Amino acid sequence: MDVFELFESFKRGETVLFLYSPISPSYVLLKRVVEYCKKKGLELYIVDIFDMLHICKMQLEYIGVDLNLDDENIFVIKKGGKINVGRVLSRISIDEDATIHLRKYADVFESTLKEKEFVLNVALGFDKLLAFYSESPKDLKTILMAVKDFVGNKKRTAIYFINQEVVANINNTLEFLEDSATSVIKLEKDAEGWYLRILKSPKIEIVGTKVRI
Amino acid sequence: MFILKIGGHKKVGNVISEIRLTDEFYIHHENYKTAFDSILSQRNFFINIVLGFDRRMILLSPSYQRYLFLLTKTHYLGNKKRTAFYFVNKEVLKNTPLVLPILEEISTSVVKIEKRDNNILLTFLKSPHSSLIESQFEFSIQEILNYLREGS
Repeated sequence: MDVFELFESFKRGETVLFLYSPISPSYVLLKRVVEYCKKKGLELYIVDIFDMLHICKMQLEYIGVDLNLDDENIFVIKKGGKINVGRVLSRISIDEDATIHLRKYADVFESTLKEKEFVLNVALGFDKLLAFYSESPKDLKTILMAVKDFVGNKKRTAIYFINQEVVANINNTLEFLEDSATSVIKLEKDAEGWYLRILKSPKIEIVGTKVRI
Repeated sequence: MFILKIGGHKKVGNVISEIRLTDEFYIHHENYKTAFDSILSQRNFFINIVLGFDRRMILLSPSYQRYLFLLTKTHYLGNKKRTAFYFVNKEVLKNTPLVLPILEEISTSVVKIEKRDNNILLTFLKSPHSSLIESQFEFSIQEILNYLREGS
């Protein structure tokens, strides 16, 4: 199975957790998602939390890869942060009250997807949002419950980019996310280089498969 | 050599700018940006060494302030006027375990320095140059000391 076949295997409405270590080239997966969407003519909806899209673009630049987001099918919603990368359709401030933040996000999500049939949705920096709320159990719970609410929404398939060492250090968060998600993929390394391991999938037969990126 | 001092009292070297610590990290970030940009405007390129970032992190609370401040560091990545080295003591960050993994992710290179017998061992954990990843360099502490003493 190659990485495009893996993307192809995600069913509409799925919530996919992409786990990576902070020293891994996680940004390569974003590049692959962009290529996949361009090839398939799919619309890509990037949620850029705390400027992580800028980080991905720069990390790719340093390995000699250009991340070109200049495409009418690719759009960006910014949550916090300052640096605009790609076509930014709207921006939401991150409020210390998670309920207020989610209400604003739900409005943007609804109005952005109203006219659309289906989008592939990538959330970059979701673990940073959890870190932001990490010392407020009530707000943390609100955000985690909202993840569950989007599962099964057939207007989108979502891939959450998660730095596993961040969520592993916030009580029960990793377990909660793994439980809510329909698929879990993890970036691992062997002698030949980096690959994705499928840890959870509605297609039981592909669980455990290695996918080269 | 220019020194930008943030908090503290003892001045060492050519201190050209000083920023007092404030509770509001937004004000701090703006003050820092102004001072840093004015230094950068004086030359084409700088090596930027950051000392004490670990201490700065643990002083910030609650989590809102700490992570917002940490994530403002994303703005400097790709600024070709400087290459920055953050010296970070892992032990200091143990009680704020989310800081190190975020800092590692937003950095292009991560190098671990540890002592092995009479040597200093340097390991590349992350680098844009794939051949450097997991490569190690070992230096004798005595040789480094001799070099530093002669150099001074």
